[in-house]
Amino acid sequence: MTIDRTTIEKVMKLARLELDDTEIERLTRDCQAILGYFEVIRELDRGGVPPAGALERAAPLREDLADADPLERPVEAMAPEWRDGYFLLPRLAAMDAEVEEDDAAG
Amino acid sequence: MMRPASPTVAELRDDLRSGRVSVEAVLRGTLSSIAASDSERPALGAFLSVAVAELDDQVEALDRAFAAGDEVGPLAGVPLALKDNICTLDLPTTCGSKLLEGYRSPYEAAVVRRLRAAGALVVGKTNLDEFAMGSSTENSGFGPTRNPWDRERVPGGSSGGSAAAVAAGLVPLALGSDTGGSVRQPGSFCGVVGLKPSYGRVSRYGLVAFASSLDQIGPLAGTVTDAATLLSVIAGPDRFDSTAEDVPVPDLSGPAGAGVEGLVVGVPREYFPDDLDPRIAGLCREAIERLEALGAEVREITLPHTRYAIAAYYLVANAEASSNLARYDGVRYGERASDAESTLAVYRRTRGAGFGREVKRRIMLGTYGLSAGYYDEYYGRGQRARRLIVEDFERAFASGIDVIFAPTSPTVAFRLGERVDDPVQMYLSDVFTVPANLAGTPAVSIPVGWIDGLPAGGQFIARHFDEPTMLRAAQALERALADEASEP
Repeated sequence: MTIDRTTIEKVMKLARLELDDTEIERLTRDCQAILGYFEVIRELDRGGVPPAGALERAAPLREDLADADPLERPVEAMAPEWRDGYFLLPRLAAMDAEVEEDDAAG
Repeated sequence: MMRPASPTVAELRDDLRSGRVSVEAVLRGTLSSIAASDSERPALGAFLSVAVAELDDQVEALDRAFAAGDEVGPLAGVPLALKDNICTLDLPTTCGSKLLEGYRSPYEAAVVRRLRAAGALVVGKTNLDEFAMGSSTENSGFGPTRNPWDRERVPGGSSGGSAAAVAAGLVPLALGSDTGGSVRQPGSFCGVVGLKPSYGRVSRYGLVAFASSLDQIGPLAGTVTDAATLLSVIAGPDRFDSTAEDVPVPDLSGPAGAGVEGLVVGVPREYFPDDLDPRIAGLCREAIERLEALGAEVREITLPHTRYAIAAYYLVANAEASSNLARYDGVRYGERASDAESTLAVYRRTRGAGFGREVKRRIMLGTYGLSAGYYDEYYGRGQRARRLIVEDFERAFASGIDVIFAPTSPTVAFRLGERVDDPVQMYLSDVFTVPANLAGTPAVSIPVGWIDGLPAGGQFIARHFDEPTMLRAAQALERALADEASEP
């Protein structure tokens, strides 16, 4: 389990995080140290033990009815940019091209 | 043990009922103590925001009710602080993150609604490690909180502001959240009681999510009784959180004074490793002897998979965090990076500029652990280790153990800056607290003594949903230790 700069750059794209050079270097170092410590878990045989489910206690079912908590403030009060009932964002088409490129790389 | 300077809930209630003091005076006194704690240098830094005019109507109504002798809620007129990852309508909810600076929630957390209905005065929001990720409150985007016992030291984390506020006597009660020890460890570092309820005991509706299979809101208080009182107000099912289980909330005051006679206390040998600070081991051993003297039967037990707990915890918690924090993309709320030319750039720059170093580190590790080709290697192994840890606890309790006692943290409060550049050392602060989160069991840390003027804590861990037995044991030990008060 090693992690290098190339991996960090790939994960950074998956995580939608912009990081500068210093951050990438530091993260590479930090992640190596942390994952190095996590090596202890490799002692455990992967077979045999089923993974824990966080909610093994049955999640209760309720009637399938809408029961929303009404908001005390309109959503546009929080929005960075809002017009005519929509959240505004720049150039969605540009994103699509980049996502395809990222997914191909990832 | 030395108790914080503020009165207990019962003392305050008596004063308010008898008219010796008004709710208005209590609030004024609280706000001026908070202001004083921040005007000293270095500032305590426990609070990120404080209610000023927001409580006027509530205070007036409560004072009228007390004067008329009307029935009031169990926390009527009691000042209380909330960790700033619990949503409020009247005060901002920042999660200690620049990304949410000034953010105001459009709804109020379930626990806050219950507190208001019980008459509590929500006086302010406390500092935390950004998005509750940290063990020292140094990862806050708004500066650190300091330890009231030594301001060059950390208060622990991530609920460091809440623990410091209670320890400094600014408020008798506070809420924190405990994902891997974030209520108990700061409780231990600040010399107050820190209680993590069972997973499913308290609604997380309105608690900003970090790691959803682990997060739990819990009380910080000066005494076990006060922590239990606060828990009884916030506990119970909630139609907005299906993980808050529909089970009856037991009477948490019932076992008061019941003692530990006949209780079987398990002491896990893995929590007393050879390299544990001998002073902490010593204080915990003394506490165990005291429990024995009070009539408890003490048995050494083994929780053999404890050595995998830190790795399992960070693999699972980071994976969940990377998913939960995907929502902070600058689209619907929070600070958006202003210079982005495409949607993808909005996401990347907003997150790159808004998140602090530790949050980025955890998002990266979590994303890596969930990515194609690594999922089974990391997240899968983490969840398998978690299963083994759950089974350790199940075996112990099935063997007749009623409650487990162990140190809360391997150290007392460390110096500010001492661990910020060493994430592995920082993570190891949580070695004794994460297992209870992984297993979902309740746990409570109480002060067990002093080491060079700094408090140290011990924790009781009980079966899932058996808070009454846990609180019974904690209260008995607290009382026994109070009899031999050893102040710094």
